Amino acid sequence: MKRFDCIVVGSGATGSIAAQALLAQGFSVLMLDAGQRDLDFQSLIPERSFMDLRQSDPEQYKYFLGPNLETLGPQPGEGYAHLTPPRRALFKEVQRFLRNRSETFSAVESLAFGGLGSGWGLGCNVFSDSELQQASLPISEMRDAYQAIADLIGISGSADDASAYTHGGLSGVQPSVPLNPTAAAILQSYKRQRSRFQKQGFQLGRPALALLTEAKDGRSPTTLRDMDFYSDAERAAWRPWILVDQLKRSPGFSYIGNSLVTRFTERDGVIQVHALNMQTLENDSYTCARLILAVGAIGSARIVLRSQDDLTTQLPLLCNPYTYMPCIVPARIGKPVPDRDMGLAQLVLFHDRDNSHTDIAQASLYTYRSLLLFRLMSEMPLGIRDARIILQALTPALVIAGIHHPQQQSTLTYLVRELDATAPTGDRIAISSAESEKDYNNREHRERCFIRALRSMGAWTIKRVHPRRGASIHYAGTLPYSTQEKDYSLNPDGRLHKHKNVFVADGSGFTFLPAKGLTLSLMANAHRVAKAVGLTMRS
Amino acid sequence: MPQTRVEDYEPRFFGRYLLGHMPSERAVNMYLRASRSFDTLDDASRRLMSLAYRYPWLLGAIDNGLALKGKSSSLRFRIWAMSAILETCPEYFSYFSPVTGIRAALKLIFAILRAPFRALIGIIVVSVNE
Repeated sequence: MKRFDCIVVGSGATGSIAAQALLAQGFSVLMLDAGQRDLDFQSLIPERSFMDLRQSDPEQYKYFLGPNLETLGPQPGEGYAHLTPPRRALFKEVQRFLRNRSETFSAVESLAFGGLGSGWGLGCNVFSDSELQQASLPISEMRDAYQAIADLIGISGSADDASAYTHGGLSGVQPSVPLNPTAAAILQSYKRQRSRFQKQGFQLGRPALALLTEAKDGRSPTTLRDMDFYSDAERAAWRPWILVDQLKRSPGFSYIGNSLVTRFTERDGVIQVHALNMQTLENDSYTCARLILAVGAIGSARIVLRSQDDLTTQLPLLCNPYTYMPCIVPARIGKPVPDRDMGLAQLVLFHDRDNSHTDIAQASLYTYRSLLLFRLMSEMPLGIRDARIILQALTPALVIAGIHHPQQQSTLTYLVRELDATAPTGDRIAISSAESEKDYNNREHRERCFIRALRSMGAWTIKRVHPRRGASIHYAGTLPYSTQEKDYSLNPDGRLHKHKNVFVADGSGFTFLPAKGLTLSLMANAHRVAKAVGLTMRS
Repeated sequence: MPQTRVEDYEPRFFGRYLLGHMPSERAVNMYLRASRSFDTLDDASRRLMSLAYRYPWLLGAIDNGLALKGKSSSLRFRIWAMSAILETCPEYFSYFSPVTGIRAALKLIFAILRAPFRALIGIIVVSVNE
């Protein structure tokens, strides 16, 4: 049996970065990955703009509704209804292999090649020093790691009031894409009353996105096809699978797909990793000197609990509370929409209560078009025909604001492993989640502040939607960082306490979850953990 | 009740309501294909459907009434499904694309004024058929 220096579990944003950093240090890496692929859609979607396809492609229903019109059929579960058919491929086989049970929490996990990173909204935000401290992340190491990740993936953004909250002091940032006219109207209103908004703690600007506006490393700049929710074929958007495909060409890197890592054992410093072959359901095992788990906070907790045969311990779980609000900018009703556009966030509005970068909530503003009108019609208190007519007039003025709130550690949300004889792995994760009255009041107050601020910027909120907890898909904190050697926690370098050679490179260690989109920070953390692993290998 | 089988008539009936004219055969066939995975109509929806077949002008009111008093009704779901199919047919692009200028304002005002009346009638009809 070949022994590898390192086994990395998972091909998502953190696994791909950890593998890349270890390879760069000269170690051999085996990536074990469920790696479910759905390449059908790539060949279905022509490389043309949304408007062009809408007007002329008779086969468009295949990618807008699904080849078998499955969007119109029974939904696989809550939280999936608003996903486009190509994005649903992210959840292939999840219900079979990653069982969850909860009355109060919708856990979203992926077994896709490239993980949940393939559906990432591309928002890049560096955590402030205060946020890093609260999350128990080392400030200077993280700053270096942020820059390394920015250099690798390519980030576009602007220098404006929001940039201290988005790309911070990162260098090499490419210019932002052109601003949609509806978003431009909001930004203009903000600029007119800038000092007033800033006194209230609001900062508005362009988001930093992992989206190229200039060519980089063989990837092309975005052509603004407005097909961001359907296809990444032009590779302007950075996705983990792009990096893993590159790594596959590197000597020293091996990849095994259809492999669901179930548990590990560590004896005399050697790790044995056990995996279930997802096609044959047979068990395989692999040996390595270092194991890096990078399958997300829930996934890594599941593997660690299973490795300990633990059915009783409750592990904490952090998740950003999330609310979305459709808004109308009346000044834009009846105005023309641009032919070229993008579906990603146009603007980000930060609410930093005392301008100290300590307690921040974030609203991302999206202009609505490429998700098609039918998704909104069913939500409206109007007949379908009237809803269509009204939405036709409102589309140029429609903005969706998605608000993320920060999340402190709490005993009210936790997960526990339990047996499930019907699951191929024989178990499942049960999640219990509740919100304290204080958190609820804070969130309500903050959302009312956002509503007032948006109204002053010309965007009127029509409705506030509170999806079930878990809908933000921002999870962390199941194996929190600790300087004490205790069970189910990580040392500051990401090593699992009471183990010598098992590391966790995803957000499991975070002891606080800032509201800012966390993917860039997850990748920076994976980079620094992989560097720390490299140091232990050399010593 | 029309002479054609109900399942063939259904997409034409909905299409005509949504567009103001008969939908294309392609759209009808797509609906029929999608309908294989639809749940059967619940009793209230079946009664409302029969009523709408007899009085087609009533479908708009029923649709508005269901939006307020029966959002999860299987009849509303089917109208919505037909609308989704029409939206992805290039021949109906103009029915779902943004309208601009004075036309947008007029369409908006007309729809907003009409909707409450339809909803009122719809709520009564839906309530009676519950």
